[in-house]
Amino acid sequence: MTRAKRGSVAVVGAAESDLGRVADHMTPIDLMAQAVQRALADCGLRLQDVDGLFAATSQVRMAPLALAEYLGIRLAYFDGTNIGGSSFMSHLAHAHAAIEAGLCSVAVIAYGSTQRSVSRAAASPREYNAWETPYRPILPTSAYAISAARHMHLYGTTREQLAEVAVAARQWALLNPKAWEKEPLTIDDVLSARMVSDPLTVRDCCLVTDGGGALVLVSAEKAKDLDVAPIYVLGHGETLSHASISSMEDLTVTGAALSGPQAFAMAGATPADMDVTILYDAFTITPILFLEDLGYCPKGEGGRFVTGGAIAPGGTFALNTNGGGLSYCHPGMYGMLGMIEAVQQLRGRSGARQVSDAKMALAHGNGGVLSSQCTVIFGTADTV
Amino acid sequence: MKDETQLTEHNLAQSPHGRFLEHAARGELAFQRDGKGEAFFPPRLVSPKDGTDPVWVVSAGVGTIHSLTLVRHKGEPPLALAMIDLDEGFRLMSQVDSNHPESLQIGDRMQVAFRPLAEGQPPMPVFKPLEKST
Repeated sequence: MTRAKRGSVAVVGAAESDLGRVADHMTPIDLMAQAVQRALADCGLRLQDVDGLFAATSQVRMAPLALAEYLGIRLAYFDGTNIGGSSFMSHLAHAHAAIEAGLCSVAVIAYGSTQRSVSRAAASPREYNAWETPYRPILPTSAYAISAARHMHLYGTTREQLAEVAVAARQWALLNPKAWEKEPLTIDDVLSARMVSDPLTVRDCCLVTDGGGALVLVSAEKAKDLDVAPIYVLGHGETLSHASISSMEDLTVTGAALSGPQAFAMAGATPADMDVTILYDAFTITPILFLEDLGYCPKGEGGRFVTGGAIAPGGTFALNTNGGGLSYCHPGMYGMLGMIEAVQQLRGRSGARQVSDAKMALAHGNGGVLSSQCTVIFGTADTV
Repeated sequence: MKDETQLTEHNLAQSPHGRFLEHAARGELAFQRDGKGEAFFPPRLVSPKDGTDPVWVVSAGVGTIHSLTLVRHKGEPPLALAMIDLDEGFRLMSQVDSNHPESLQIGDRMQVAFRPLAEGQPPMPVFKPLEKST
């Protein structure tokens, strides 16, 4: 299989929309458009330059249609792939292929959600599943709980280790002025919080916020004509493994075990080369699974990897430096915001939480119930 | 002119879910095997991976808790939601009926039972601890 070429496209613009709790009556498409405008301003391109559009949200079934209408643009290429929170990593991989194939030249990827304003139930109504719904899981939480319980059983992972992920995320969030959470969090706070689906308490679960973001991608050649420091796309990989948790083959091994090696092979890099790592933290178990599946540590060691403040600010490993879906922002499909943080870190724009001299970053997206896994590796000009 | 090739000969009389419910109403846990005899669940019209017509089989209804979570619906006692590995080699989501859900463990042996999961609904498989035979 021919793969897209390492470093042949670059992110030149990246921006968050309004986050947290946005103004009353704001729509997901309002937030997408706001983020697109900000991301274009970020790289000096105009709306009229955009000829490729990639968009998804849980609230609008045909997001590319709605956004193209709103922005009043005619497109040469578009893609509305929706595989949950990792959709935007998938969009980036598809945009890479489209730009290389000459199908478009300025690709914009956009996301917007008002799930806090309208409620999670209204923003992401769950589809009826005859084999699961009657048993009354609280989804998606119970699905992740079932994976966590199995991981604990097989590898001795503890609730305290899960809590470390939430505590570290909170510490990073306190360095991020845009983060939703503003108060410190302790391991005991996580353990004693209201249990939702054992072993996960409400503090093991991601936030429910509004928010969105956008990225602008162009060819490496075109990026040189812009007055920006391009962040190159070095590698990516995408996998789908199941839709329902009852059909997940191994509850402790995710598709990241495939998407990761694809991305690393394309980038010619290893986990040790990553200065910043963003792993979708929908629940505290997910970064643990992804650390293992992406090869940062052996299978079963993820819990021990995160203990002792290793992933907190000042620790040995820069993980989820924006505060993640657990403490910064989680509008439902967080993958976009993870990529924005990876890009901003590489551009040196992450303020108090900046990782010094960051040259390579990985952003990993998760969708559904550990169902879709997409990995992207970014690098500065030095790495191309 | 009518293009006969665009039409199927007849509609199927029963869906996979419909057939499963019919078995369940008789107290049977039905599942399917593919062309290689591999068990799978949930029931389908086409065997996954190999594309053959599935073969229906009735399970002995004995299995093991593969994983487990106590679901905390507000204002209700904890509900034991489990993934059950049936001895025939397929897995499904179900509930475990137990007076002591906190004491359930991964690896516990289970046997199937049937009851409606909500008022007015058809019986569905649930599980209870396997009674030890002597």
